[in-house]
Amino acid sequence: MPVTEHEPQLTEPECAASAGRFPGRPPGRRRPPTGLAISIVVLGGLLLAALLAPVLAPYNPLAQNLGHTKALPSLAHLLGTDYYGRDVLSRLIWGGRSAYLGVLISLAVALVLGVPWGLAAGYWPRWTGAVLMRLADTLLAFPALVLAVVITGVLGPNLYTSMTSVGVVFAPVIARLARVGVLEVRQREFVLAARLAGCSKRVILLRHVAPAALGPVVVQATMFAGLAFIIEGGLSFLGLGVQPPAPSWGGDLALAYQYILSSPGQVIAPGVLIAVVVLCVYRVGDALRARLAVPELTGHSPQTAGIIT
Amino acid sequence: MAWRLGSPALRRLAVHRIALAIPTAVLASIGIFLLIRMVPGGPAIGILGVHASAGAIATLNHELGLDQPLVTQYWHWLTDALRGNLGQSLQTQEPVTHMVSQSFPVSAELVGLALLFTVIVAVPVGVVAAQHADSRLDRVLSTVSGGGLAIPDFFLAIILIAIFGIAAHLLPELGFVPFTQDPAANLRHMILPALSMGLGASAIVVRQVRAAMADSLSSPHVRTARAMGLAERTVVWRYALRTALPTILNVYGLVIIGMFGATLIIEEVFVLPGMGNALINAIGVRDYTFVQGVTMVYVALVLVINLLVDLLAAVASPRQAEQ
Repeated sequence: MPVTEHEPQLTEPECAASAGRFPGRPPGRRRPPTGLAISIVVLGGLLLAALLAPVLAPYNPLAQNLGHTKALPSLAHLLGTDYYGRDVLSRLIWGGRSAYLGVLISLAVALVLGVPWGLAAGYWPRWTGAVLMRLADTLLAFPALVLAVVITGVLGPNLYTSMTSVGVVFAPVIARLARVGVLEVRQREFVLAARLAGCSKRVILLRHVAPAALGPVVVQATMFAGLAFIIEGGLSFLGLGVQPPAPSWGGDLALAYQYILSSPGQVIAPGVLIAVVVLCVYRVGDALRARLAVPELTGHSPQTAGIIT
Repeated sequence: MAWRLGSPALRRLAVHRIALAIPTAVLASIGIFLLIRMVPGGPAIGILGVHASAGAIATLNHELGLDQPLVTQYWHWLTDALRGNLGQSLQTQEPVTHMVSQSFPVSAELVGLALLFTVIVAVPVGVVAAQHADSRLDRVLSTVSGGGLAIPDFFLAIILIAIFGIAAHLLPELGFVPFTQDPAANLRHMILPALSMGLGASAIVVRQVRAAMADSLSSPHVRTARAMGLAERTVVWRYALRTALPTILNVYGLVIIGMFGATLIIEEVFVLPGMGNALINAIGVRDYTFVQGVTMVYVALVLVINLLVDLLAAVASPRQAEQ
């Protein structure tokens, strides 16, 4: 909409200051917050343990003790020892580093690629949008895990390449969500008001449209964090992520699985740990969904694509 | 407008969707093609190792046609692929299409059985949850399916192997028997892998079916059907489910694609000779021709699944297809 010279024009700081107060949304049905509190404590505690691994881990995660292999839990080794006599607890604490780092990498890549991608596609819906969404469709034409595995295979298997490729796989879903959000928001009154006030397109997009449009993206990113823990475990399980003997939850599970006939109990600790972490992340995601009043998934929404690997 | 199978309207929709899928397929094929050539130092160094002599690399590049311009390489690959020739595996020297035709049925059977499980178990559970929305049963089901989403499928597979294979000796824990050789043994080997994928997918299907059915149960035409005194069973299973069907079909499209992705890990865990396992092996031995060919097969698979879902959804709900 053209702005005439007679209308008062806000300076850029004023435009920015008036942003961020888009209409509030009704709160969703609240669930008791105990589960949420527990989830946050578990996730925070595990992160802290991973960060403090050099201090907290009772043993060197790589130190083998071939005279004391596949030991059951005891006071000396709270979760027992693995096939090479390494302390399982110490390995899981150190493995948390690659798990959290991997998830962080994949989320960072997904958001840094996906958000601008979707914002641009939504704000310039004609040519730019059409081309950008065609690209998203193309990436979504691969089963997510196939694309992640092939990219990792080409670039060489390690934590960084594998989780970067997972981020690339997540990005088109984030882009679609951001685009839909922008398309919904850009016609709303407060955006119109900002345009009439003469804010620049950049300010409107970044300070007015983006915050209102990105609620679904925040929720989806949280859900992706849970999924990324699973995929990090899966890729390390396949030998495409963290390379042994370096500790990782998925890699340790794969090692335990090799010796499942002689000592089946070894698979429990790493497997349960991944499941618990993912459960906690999803709980946080559900709480965010209720807080930001993002609708539940349905078959038509692009969010569904993200939940399924 | 009639949307029965074979009607002109349906044919038009099919043509439209296929026309949309072609550029996607072409873009994807260019993407895969370029990706394979992004191997650090080029595929030849990837295959021969960093200590290979320049002469050996040049010879291999010539054999693989990698010394030709990119556009020429792509054109050859594309025209061959359209004629059903995806090249020869670098590892086994067999045609890639032959290896795909051997491994694909294994993956398809696995996905088919897992899918069957979700249709028999998860869809009815989702419908019942929607019927009793916000009851205690609904909350229990929601908690259980939420937990199901959090368990990695490879860990679930290991648990099932430990329980049914190792502890109870009920089912074989690993391996594969071709269906043509011994159908009963084939199915016994497939139960645990299919269950590993089917249980996780059920968590998704239950939630989505519940959401779609809750929506459709509160719509006016269901209220009308009830007001006319139709039996509740008829209302739910014929009227409400029919409205929810397009949504459920869309979810199933995504679930099937996700399952083909999951075969990469599940076939590895159970040592099944399927396409996912073949892809993982090919990546391990740097068989780039095979990786390139099989990835394209996956893309074709996804596009076909999406097309079928669109057409089935149109048949199920002509009104939505109009929009």
